[in-house]
Amino acid sequence: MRREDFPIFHKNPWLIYFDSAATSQKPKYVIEEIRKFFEEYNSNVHRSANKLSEIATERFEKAREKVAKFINAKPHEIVFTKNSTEALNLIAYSLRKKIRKVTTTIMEHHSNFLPWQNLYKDFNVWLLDEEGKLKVERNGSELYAVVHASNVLGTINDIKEIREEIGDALLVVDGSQSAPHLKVDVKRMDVDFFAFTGHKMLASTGVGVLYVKEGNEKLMEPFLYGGEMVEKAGIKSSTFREMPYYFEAGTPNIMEVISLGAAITYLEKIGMENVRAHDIKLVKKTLKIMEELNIEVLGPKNAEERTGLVSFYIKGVHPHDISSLLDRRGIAIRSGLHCAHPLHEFLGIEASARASFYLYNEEWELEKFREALEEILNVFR
Amino acid sequence: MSLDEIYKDFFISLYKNPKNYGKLKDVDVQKALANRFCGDALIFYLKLDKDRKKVEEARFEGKGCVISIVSASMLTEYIKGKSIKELEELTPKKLFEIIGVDLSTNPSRAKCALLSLNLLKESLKDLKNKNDKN
Repeated sequence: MRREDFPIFHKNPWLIYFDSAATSQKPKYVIEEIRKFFEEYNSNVHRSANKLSEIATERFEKAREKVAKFINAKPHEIVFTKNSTEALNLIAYSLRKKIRKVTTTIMEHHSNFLPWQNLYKDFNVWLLDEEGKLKVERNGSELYAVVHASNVLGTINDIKEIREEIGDALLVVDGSQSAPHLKVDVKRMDVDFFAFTGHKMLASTGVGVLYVKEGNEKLMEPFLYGGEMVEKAGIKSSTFREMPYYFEAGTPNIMEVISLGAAITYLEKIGMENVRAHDIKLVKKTLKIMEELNIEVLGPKNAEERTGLVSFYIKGVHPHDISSLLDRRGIAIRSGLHCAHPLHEFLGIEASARASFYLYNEEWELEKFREALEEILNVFR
Repeated sequence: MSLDEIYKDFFISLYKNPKNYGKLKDVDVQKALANRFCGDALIFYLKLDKDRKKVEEARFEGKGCVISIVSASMLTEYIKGKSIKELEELTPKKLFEIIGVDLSTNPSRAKCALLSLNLLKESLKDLKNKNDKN
């Protein structure tokens, strides 16, 4: 769809990159914006009264506006963190004195599982039904933390349905695998918190986003103390600034935030609906290949219910061997437990292999993928 | 030998029917170790000779990829008849020699091979503690 926009494929014309759920490649446009920042207006933000700092601050805040618009939020509801993990830890930590009972799910990445498990005594887990769907069940929790799209199963959870079930309890959604692929609307889904990360959606590593619905910050204590977040620091006590700076202590990752703004500009030019349609096309084809080769697939059978990834396993072949053999043929996938040990334990599988796609993947790559999988099946036959 | 060679017939058949696979009774040490990155897990069973100086018999069980199973199989074969002192000095380099594949430039797969070496070292530590107590 857009392979030519990505310099890595010019340097590595043979590369078939099926590991975008781990991190995405970066388009020329984003790389250029990063270069411009360092070469043309590098300086700190919100501090010095000089021209450079004013430009940097303006671009930094412009990026915040873009992010807000991208998920239908207001700019002051957007907090920049270093990644999704930090964003989710921030919520868990800052609410821990106000909230007692929490529920998360068995299909979470560790980042939306471990903070709740370790900071809350009354910790509950939604499991899956026989069809692999989340068993959504109100249980008196004051907060529910749910993944939008699973990084292993690919399942897209119905957040509106979850909201209806849990009433007015707090709803935290991990959008790490959804924001790069779907049109996200935090208002329509009616969520309290939404976390995602820049590097999986064409931006640099080192920038995450936490959406905090207006007013929720009043329940929360600061996560990090220091410069930028303080309003008046006294010898005996201090007062803190309004949102979003309340949660942004210290010099932020300026270049990274600007790169995220650029990534969003690039994605919006293409249109998220086109990104989504491209995903569905590739996933459909992959599911067909797997069916024809008799390879076991995790998650929904219907491409429309999944994000752009397919995890699979071949009986008698360890996922590490699959990934090594594919790598020898220029195809990069991920194998292992994908930071989701509880899910693998629940499913009773040791590990899985995962092919994940993005807008630079093309259908011919899947033909190569099929050939390589056939060879692997032959090796182990 | 390159990583590709691992997936040739000899290794694949050893993977499917690994030598020294299975339980061993009346062992001097039985030890398990898992690789937290991939979930691979092995158990070593070691029996010593009368003087408790040498490994007399070694077997293993577990689950893992071609590299981890093949290296466990080859390592358990190699250590039979070797002295504990000698085995305590086994290096990763030596392990790669034993299995015939140098994975030193391939850190993500070296971990798979080194699981059995680390497990051997842990087993030897346990033996030492036992011997000290006796």
